[in-house]
Amino acid sequence: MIAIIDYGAGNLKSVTNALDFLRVSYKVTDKAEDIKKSDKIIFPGVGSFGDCINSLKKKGIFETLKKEISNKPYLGICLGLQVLFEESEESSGIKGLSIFKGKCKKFKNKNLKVPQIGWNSIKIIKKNNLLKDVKDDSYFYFVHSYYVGPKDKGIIATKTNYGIEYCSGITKDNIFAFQFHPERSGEIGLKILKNFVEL
Amino acid sequence: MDVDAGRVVKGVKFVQIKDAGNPVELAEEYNRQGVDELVFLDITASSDKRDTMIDVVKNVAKKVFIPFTVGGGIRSVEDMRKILNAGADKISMNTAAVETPELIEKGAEKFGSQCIVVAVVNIDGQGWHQARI
Repeated sequence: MIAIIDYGAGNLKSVTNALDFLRVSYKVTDKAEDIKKSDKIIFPGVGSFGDCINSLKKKGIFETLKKEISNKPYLGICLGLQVLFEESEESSGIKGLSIFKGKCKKFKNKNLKVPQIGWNSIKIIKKNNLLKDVKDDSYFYFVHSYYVGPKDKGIIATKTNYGIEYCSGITKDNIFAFQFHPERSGEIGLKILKNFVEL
Repeated sequence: MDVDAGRVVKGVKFVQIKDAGNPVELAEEYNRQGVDELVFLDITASSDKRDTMIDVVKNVAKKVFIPFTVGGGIRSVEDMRKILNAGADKISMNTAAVETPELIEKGAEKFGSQCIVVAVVNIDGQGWHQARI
């Protein structure tokens, strides 16, 4: 069973619709017990970094999540990528799950609209099982104002250019996380979700 | 796609409206052809048929995995919530943006600026106009 983390802020419909389409069973949950029992975790984050972390703490699943992420396949989407890091310019003073060292930074190019909303391409830096059959320069759908800056460059799986070249995907052992939305990126996005389900 | 009472319709300069098919089937077809995004505008005149649009949105969201925008008849934050919860990514406003511009800000505060779109229509036929939002 895949646990989809619901911390109360957002609409998880597009992710559950995609999993229904792929005929995969899952449980949308905010309970520590379900997260422990699950085989895999999907964290489709929406909203702000601080609200998300505070909500995870309030629900008593911050520590559980931190521990379970290292035990089983994890797919982080958007904020589900950002919360893996130590902190974010979006919510100063709030500590993230800190699985990886580094900070989330805001796009600062004045000539570009923030948030970035729309299709953009990825450069594959490090191939992994989720990027199986995904070609370099494939386009995905992005909606975000902040991007992750990992200290350990070795975890960078994909890079994207939006004024600057930034890390749009990371991978380490069983942990996979992307800044773009596979559940909103058509066929190629569904491919990534399918690859995760089939791990 | 303009949607009237759950069907896609096509007119010429807003008149001579003809039936153009099922919105879910058309969305799937456009998706298959590789479009980036879809926009549905509900042009249903009677408010009692508004819920038909919610069903259209729900059914499209189950089959099409690209971003899509829904507009037409949005008058409140609650209207926005219904459409977004049904599975749309963005809300488009036209008349409401002129009559109640504060709704743009309210919607952006509640759901994020990424999902509020203002649609500008030029109906005087005098060529291109610049619009600033």
